[in-house]
Amino acid sequence: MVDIDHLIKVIVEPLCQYPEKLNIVQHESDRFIEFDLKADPSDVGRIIGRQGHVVQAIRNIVYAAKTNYQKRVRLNIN
Amino acid sequence: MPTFEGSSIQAAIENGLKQMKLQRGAVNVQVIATGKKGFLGFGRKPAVVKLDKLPEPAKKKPVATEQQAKSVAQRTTTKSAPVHRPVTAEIKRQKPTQLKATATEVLDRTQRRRSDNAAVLQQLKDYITDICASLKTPVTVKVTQKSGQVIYQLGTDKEGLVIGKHGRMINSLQYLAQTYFNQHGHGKQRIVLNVGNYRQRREETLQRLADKAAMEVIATGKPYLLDDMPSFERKIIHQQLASNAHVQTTSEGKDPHRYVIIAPNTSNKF
Repeated sequence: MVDIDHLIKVIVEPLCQYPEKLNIVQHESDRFIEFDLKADPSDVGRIIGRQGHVVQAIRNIVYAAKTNYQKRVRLNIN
Repeated sequence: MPTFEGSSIQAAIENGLKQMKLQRGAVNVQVIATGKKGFLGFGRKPAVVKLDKLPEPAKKKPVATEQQAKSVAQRTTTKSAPVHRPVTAEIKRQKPTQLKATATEVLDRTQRRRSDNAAVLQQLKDYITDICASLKTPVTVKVTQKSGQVIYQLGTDKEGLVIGKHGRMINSLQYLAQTYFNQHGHGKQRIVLNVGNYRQRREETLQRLADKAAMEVIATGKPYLLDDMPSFERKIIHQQLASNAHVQTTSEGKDPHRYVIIAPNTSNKF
């Protein structure tokens, strides 16, 4: 099964200027497995992209990954 | 700083020079009003120029004043000509060596960039393989460069997974790859990802779809909305129907839900 945490890191790290400041926290809500991504404030724009297109592409890939969780995956950025 | 009048700018300058008893090169000319010829003597306005005596006339820097005079003369005689022309000419005349130096510098920079770009494209290949590896769909990547675009040919035994529903996966990967290149590389390159012969198959499907939809539009006379597509797929539709005089195509909506509308052509009715 796909390690979502690792996958997010692999995708996002090369897009950042300060990859060492990336931090992913995982927690569970009633319907989702949530991954909260924290990054340097100057990198947030890069991750989200113009019109949110980059984060949309990241979510497309992350949500398509096959997991053995019972719930759906959700990716938050803040 | 006296001002002088004349029927034209040239005449005004000459008038002023005569009164100040100076040579053409010894003054700095500033045009205040260009003057109007008027019609049958009505509405005529004289040209007004301001002449400043230069502080160090003629002797100390003869070349500079001569050049200045020349450029001023050019400016006044060829009114409609762009003002900056004599200036650039002067720069060229004065600094040939410097220009040469910058030219080699630019060449160096482009060469360095080219090698940089090769490294970036190599890293991009690793980036794509890394993502696919962590998705448990390992791929092999072959890179081919064309003018203005770089094609990454992915080979895998799980094509369907890499392409995804409606090609969502491959298109997202392509967008990320493009973003990666835009951030790290130089210049403009279109990054294209292909799995197997997916892009070719898709192109044929889209062309068939476009032709079929166009037939229906012509038959019914009503516009036809296609599904949402990314920009490069819409482009294929537009290109396919560009030569069709009976329909016209436009795109509407906001990315990523932008779609093509095929409508009967209203612009040229016989």
